[in-house]
Amino acid sequence: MNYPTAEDPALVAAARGGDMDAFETLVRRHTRVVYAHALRFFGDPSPAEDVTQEVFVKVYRSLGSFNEHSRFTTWLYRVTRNACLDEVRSGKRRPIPVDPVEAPQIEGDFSDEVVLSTAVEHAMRGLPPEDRDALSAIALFGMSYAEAGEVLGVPTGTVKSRVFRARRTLAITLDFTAGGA
Amino acid sequence: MECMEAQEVISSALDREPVTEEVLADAKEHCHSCAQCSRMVKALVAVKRSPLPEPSEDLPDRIMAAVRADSALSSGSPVPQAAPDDSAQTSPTDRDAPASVVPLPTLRERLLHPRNRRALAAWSAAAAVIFVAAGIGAIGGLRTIIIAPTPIGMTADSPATFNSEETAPEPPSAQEAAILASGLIVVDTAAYRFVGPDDSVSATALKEIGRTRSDLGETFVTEHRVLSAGDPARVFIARTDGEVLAFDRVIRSYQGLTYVLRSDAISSFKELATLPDGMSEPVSADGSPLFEPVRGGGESGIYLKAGADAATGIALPPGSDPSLSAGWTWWTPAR
Repeated sequence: MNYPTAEDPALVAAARGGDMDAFETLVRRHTRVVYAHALRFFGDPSPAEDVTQEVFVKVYRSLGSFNEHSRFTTWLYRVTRNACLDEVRSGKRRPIPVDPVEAPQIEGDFSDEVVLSTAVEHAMRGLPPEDRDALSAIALFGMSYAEAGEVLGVPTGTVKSRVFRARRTLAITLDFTAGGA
Repeated sequence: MECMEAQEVISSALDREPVTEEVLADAKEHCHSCAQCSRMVKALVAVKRSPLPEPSEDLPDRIMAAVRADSALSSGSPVPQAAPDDSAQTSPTDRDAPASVVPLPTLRERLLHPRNRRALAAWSAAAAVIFVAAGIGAIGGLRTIIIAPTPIGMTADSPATFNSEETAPEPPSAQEAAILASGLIVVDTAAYRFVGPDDSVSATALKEIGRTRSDLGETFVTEHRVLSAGDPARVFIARTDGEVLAFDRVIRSYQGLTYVLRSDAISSFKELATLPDGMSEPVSADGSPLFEPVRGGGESGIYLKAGADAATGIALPPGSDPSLSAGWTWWTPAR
């Protein structure tokens, strides 16, 4: 198998057969997305990395239950979201509270990707959790509105509204005209 | 079109949601003529293109270390159960499958399965002989070329020859181990891969869907009844001692469709898939005259039957997945 170019279903199938290289390819391909969701949830890199690790261990343990007709990223989103929520429910970790009003103003040119990313991540943490979840499903995990609606248990139109509201809030919070983007 | 409506249409289009050309054109026209919407659209695009935060560089390595450690600890677990349908994974509850899912048998577990122990023991014995001989050779300043015995279950062509001048013999590679431990069977030209014994199903509750001849990783090739619980993705074979073995259909996806590996008969767990009966290996490396590439080329390319489309099937060239085949493979859409 040519791992870097293999598609997710082929890698999942191979991993189910015990091919650890195939699973490692999935890990390397999707680590950033899982980490980004966890970071936006907790607001702290350390628990975000811990949860990212837990997510992939859970995924590996559960490969046998993965329905080959489903999208791997949809499943990964569900595991990631639940892992974050479980951490809070169990009292192990708590997200760092964010007050958008007191959020630090990011100075710099938004044409600089680092500046833009830092500002967006700050602003993300200020979003209502339901809006952030919807945006995460769509923008990070590449799900359709319908898929996200099914996973989140809300109508497709609600996902659409939440995603739009999240993006609009981000745009306004970041004040792009001032930032130069 | 109103400002909010136009912005929402653009947002949907950015997410590749279906938006009619007419509506999208109206939204674009509005945004071109409205300074506020124009700025907002630029902001939406910028947010969408914002780079993701970077985790520590070694996070993937730490994840894999944790996975391997967890995998080693879970040895002895029963075979995982395939989800009966997608609802198990898409239920809008916050409780996820992992808590209730039985772990997949690891490669180690499968290697330790009774059927594979003999081969593993042979590998270990061969390795021990080489280690001892290499040690004696090193002490005596000798440089002896040692030919290891062929382990049980391996053919003479298998990589069981070591030279004490080189590095110490290694256990079977992941690929070799996978071939040893997870064999293929063919049912009505569809290839299935051995998953492991499954004690959650009773052979009497399963329906026969065909027959296959296989050694099931043992010495003799015999005919077996192939059983199904209704899910075409998984079949079972009941051994004479009552143990039920599970096999998963070998699939891959292409352009959103699931394709099933098709092969000529495979009668041993050590055999790999070949093109189905009636299809002969292409003469040229480029697949001609049987196949022609549809994208890329080389090992990762996808090929179609000459003059046909993907609905007929897709072909993958040699090297695409050495654990499945040494040559070309043929895949058809799953029914």
